[in-house]
Amino acid sequence: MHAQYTVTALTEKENSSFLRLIAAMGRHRIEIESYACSTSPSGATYKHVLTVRARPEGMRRAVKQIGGYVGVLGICYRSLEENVNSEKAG
Amino acid sequence: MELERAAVPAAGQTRLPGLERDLARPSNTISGAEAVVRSLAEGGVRTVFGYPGGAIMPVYDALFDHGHEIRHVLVRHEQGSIHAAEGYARACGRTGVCIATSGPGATNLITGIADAKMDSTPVVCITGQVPSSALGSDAFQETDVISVSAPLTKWNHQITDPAEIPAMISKALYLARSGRPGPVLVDITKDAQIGTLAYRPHEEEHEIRGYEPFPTLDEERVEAACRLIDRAKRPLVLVGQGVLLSGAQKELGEFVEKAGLPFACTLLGLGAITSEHPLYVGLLGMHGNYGPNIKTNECDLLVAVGMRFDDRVTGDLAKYARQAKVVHLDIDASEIGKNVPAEVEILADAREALGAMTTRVRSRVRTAWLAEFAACDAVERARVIENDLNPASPELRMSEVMDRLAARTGGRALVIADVGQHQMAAARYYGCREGGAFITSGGLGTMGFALPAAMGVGLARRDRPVVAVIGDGGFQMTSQELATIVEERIPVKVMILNNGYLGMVRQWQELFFRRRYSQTELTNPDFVAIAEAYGMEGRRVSERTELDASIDEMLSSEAPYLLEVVVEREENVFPMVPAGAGCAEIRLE
Ligand SMILES: Cc1ncc(C[n+]2csc(CCOP(=O)(O)OP(=O)(O)O)c2C)c(N)n1
Ligand SMILES: [Mg+2]
Repeated sequence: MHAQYTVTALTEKENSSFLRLIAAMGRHRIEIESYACSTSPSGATYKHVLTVRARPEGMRRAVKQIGGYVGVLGICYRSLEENVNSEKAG
Repeated sequence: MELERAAVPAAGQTRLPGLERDLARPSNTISGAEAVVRSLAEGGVRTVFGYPGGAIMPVYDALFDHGHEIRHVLVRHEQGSIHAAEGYARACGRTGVCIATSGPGATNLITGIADAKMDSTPVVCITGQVPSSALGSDAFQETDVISVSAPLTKWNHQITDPAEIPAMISKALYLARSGRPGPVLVDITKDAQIGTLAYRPHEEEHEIRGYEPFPTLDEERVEAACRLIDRAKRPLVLVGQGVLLSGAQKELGEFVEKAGLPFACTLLGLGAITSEHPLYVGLLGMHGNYGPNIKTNECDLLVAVGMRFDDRVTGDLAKYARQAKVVHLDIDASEIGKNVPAEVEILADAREALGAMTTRVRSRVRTAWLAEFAACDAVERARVIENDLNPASPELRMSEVMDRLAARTGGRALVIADVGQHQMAAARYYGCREGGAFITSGGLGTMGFALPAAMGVGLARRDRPVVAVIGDGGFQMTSQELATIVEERIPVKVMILNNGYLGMVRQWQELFFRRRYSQTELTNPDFVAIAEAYGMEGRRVSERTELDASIDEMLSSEAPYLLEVVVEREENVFPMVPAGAGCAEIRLE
């Protein structure tokens, strides 16, 4: 039942953004296969890109939860079938 | 409440007189520690709960000079400080603040932080930290409290530069309170406390990218919800703490009364409207009332307001209200659709949304539907409540003790319940008449919460009797706070319902583990002697004939008071939805 997804999150450039992101993935039993983070040209934002394996329900819940965190500016995920879902932060 | 209000700046006056004078000094260069205290005072904080230690000493030194603005309450364990801050916040609606040192001081806050997160309580924790040069060196009392608390806080931040302090303290206070409230933590290295800054109070509005604490109400969704309500024949409103947090009690009353909607409360929603209201049909959940649990699976519409479909409310989700349409109103987007899918999702503040719904919804009376709840009530009365209140056995039952407490206080007391059987007895029988009159640890179920929380409630609300209802087990988790209560002369009444067991666990062992009472029987100390050792009045009661008089004596004391009530040892709390069962599979015995 696990599918592969790509998750992209934009956060404030704060160390705790890594912690919260990864902790939330763990809580929802999402298996992280790769993780990359880069700083935006302005230097104020992190862009996190993860490939993960998860159940669709776990993925949906995690993204919704992370989207509500203070410091998360946006998060979206895309399954291999290219279905794009996004959650606005806030 | 008056005491607390007295120190708050008057309308139109943004700063306190003392601060005005200090700020007028030619040089406003102050230490980071001083800035912490001033920023708290500027943010309206008048009471803090804390415990000192090496890494937070500069802040304590600054507090020494600010006793006229900020009252510091010295607890006896940091867990006590955060539960007290939670109790304070929940009783008066202001943000609770606690202060701890690094390492063990900070980690002792963790249970309370998790508790505040679960129960959406606005708390700001300020922790000292080793100097920034020592970070990562496993220095004495260094703990990475930012990592430890990240998943449990709404926001946290480490300050190493004193110049950041005014803005970050102000941001912490704002984040804790706004939107869905919650705990935040600010960790301040010792060098940032000692270093200096040119102090200016942070006065700008907070603009936090991506943070939308006050979502815009979508009128179309309000329309859609009202259409469902108008069409529904058997609607049921589920009231959660969100109603209390948004101050929407009046709007809720107008809404349910206009549309003739029966409503039930979650544990934390109790008192949103008085339990004497004719449309109130009871408490939801595992040990809630029979009617709302049964009717959840017979209604055609659930209107959930500021509640999160916690598993203690729903039981097995696969068996939960499958027949019903759902309207879910909440201020936190991540709660909507998390556990129970909704036909209409309303992301909004409860007060605003309920007001809008009341203007649109059709006026109705639903006599037949309400009569079904009354019939359930009669069943529960005959099979559970009658024996709970008028037991044949000579021993006192928790339920009758709570019923007598309600009678002797006229329901005016603020009750803070700990966790266990006594908590459920209090929730069921105290008869909550107003929001904030029943405070308990709901989501985390933290034993040891009630005594320190009652301390915070007692400081926030001097206008009401404050009664902590605690089990013999839970009392022994934070009993050291009796010292704080006595020292601060907080007239908290402590009622220990002593059954000699970790009763709630014993009940489960009896029902689901073939009465194998593994590690649940307690050999207890003499609780009255403990109270006396702390300098408190105390009394033990075990006779029904003496119960009322002993409650009256407790209430008439102006000092803190401990009343140990010896209750039936193996009383069980019913009704009960067994773990894993559906809410309608509620058992009456
Ligand atoms: C800190 C903590 N540890 C363990 C538990 C599990 N637990 C829930 S109720 C309970 C028994 C409580 O006993 P007591 O305080 O005597 O209350 P009673 O149920 O007897 O009324 C326990 C151990 C908990 N909720 N919190
Ligand atoms: Mg007990």
